Amino acid sequence: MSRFQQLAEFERPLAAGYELLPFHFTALDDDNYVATNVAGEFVVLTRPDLEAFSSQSLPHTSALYDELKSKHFLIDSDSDVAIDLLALKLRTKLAPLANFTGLHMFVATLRCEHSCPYCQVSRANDDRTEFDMSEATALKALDLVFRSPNPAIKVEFQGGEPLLNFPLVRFVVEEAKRRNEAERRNLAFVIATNLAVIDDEILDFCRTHAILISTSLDGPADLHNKNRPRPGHDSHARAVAGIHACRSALGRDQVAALMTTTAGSLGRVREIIDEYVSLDFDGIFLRPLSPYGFAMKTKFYRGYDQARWLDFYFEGLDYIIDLNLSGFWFIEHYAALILRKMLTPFQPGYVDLISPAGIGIGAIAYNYDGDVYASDESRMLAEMGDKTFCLGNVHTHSFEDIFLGDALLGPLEASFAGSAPMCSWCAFEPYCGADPVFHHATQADFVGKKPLSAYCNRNMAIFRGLIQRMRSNPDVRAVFERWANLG
Amino acid sequence: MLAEFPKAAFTAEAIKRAAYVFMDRADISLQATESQWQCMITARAGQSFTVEQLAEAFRREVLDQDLRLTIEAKTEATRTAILGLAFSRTGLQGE
Repeated sequence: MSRFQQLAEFERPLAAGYELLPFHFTALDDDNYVATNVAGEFVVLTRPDLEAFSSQSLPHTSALYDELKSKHFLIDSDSDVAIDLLALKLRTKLAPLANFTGLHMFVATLRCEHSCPYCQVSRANDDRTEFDMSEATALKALDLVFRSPNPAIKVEFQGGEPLLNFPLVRFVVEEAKRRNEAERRNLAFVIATNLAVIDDEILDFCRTHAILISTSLDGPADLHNKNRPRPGHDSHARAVAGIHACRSALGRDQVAALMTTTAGSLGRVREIIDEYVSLDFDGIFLRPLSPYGFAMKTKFYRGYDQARWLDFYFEGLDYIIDLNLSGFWFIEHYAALILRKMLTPFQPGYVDLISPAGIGIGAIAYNYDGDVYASDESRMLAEMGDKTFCLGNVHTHSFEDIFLGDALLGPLEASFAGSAPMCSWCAFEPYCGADPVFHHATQADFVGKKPLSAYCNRNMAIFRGLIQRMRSNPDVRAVFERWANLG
Repeated sequence: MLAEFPKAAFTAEAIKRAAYVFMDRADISLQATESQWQCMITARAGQSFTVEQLAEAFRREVLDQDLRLTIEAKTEATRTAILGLAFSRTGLQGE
């Protein structure tokens, strides 16, 4: 007599069938579909397999059955904990929401000595000090900063060029740190600067207060200088010198750079990436232009269409993948953000790719004049004359007025992807976001008609592109797993 | 071009959802007869698909939407249970 029952005895309960767990599906290509569960785990399957699975006739002996079961797309008689596990995973993804606003942007000044035609802010000439934030305004803004319950507060100085009002930057940092002696938050500072006017005094201050530097670097010198004109035509040289100076003073990992794609960038993505590699950055964030501010006035936003930007993006992504496959570690940061959603239980706090939208509850902007905007893009929109996302003013409105008012809660509720047409049944919804500012700017609608939305089309193309690349090459999947787990 | 769907097999919801997805490519007007949903498909200006290709893709989208609605109906109670569990321990409910 056998000590164990035959295998068929253990499989008998499975033959009783299975129940579907909630999932959505979207076409990946002509033959395959992506299915995602509520926690964002995904499976790729053919239409016949999708139909068999959905009609609950998929054989329990198939490999697909095991994959669907292990990823919580079905429950059967020996996997009834899946509902609890899915709820736990969903709660993990949504947990950061409870922290509320973590990123607080101070527009220290609108002044700038650059005159970039793609600028998403309406800059002021660098002698116009009426566009500087005052200490009185900064103090009121700090009152709001510390009303946020978030245990981690990041104060980011924006402009214009914020270093043209460095006394205000110094004042805010010192005052915030003084208040934080009692508040005990995890407090961090970032200065978004073109580095053209940075000097030793500023670097000493940044070192003393562990301030991160975020700068702009659009690529090789000719491209960067064309995109970013300034007196002397030396923007690139100043940026590169500033990057080296910051690294020497603050440490290599204390400096980040962002690029913006203009029509002049198209066809040059490898050169742009090479520039970042040569300057010893760990990665690059390949970004399109946004439809706000000066970029609209100068027609720069219409310099290229979505298809050309996607060609640019995927050529760059494939080049970066090849670098990684050849042993050189380098990241495309937008892909890494999405892959973190696809391949881990965690939700990155990137405000443009989250639902409910990140406006106000993820990040908030205090303009130089005290007006409070739901995001940096919101104040850019205001510079174009549209103050829809102005939530109040630090001098005249309370925390409750600003964060609980209809100006914020209205677009947050309306744009929630889980209940938006097309988003609510889209398999990519767990990876995507709601961007009411973008859709208001482009369609005069917080929700946006997604078939006509550049935001939706761009992100759908990238989601598909990432999954296709993972499926086609296990080595690429390994690279993506590493990007996803950067934290 | 006319695409027809039997009322016995497809809901108006599935067809309306599919028409919404197609708003960038086609204007789709929906009419009902006693037994059929009739969709008049007109290609929008400036896009590269023939109306026949659009009709074929639209039929497939209606099938997808119909399946989505079936899955949503089958899993609605479980989805509610999962969301209830997920939000039950967040501390967001207040006292």
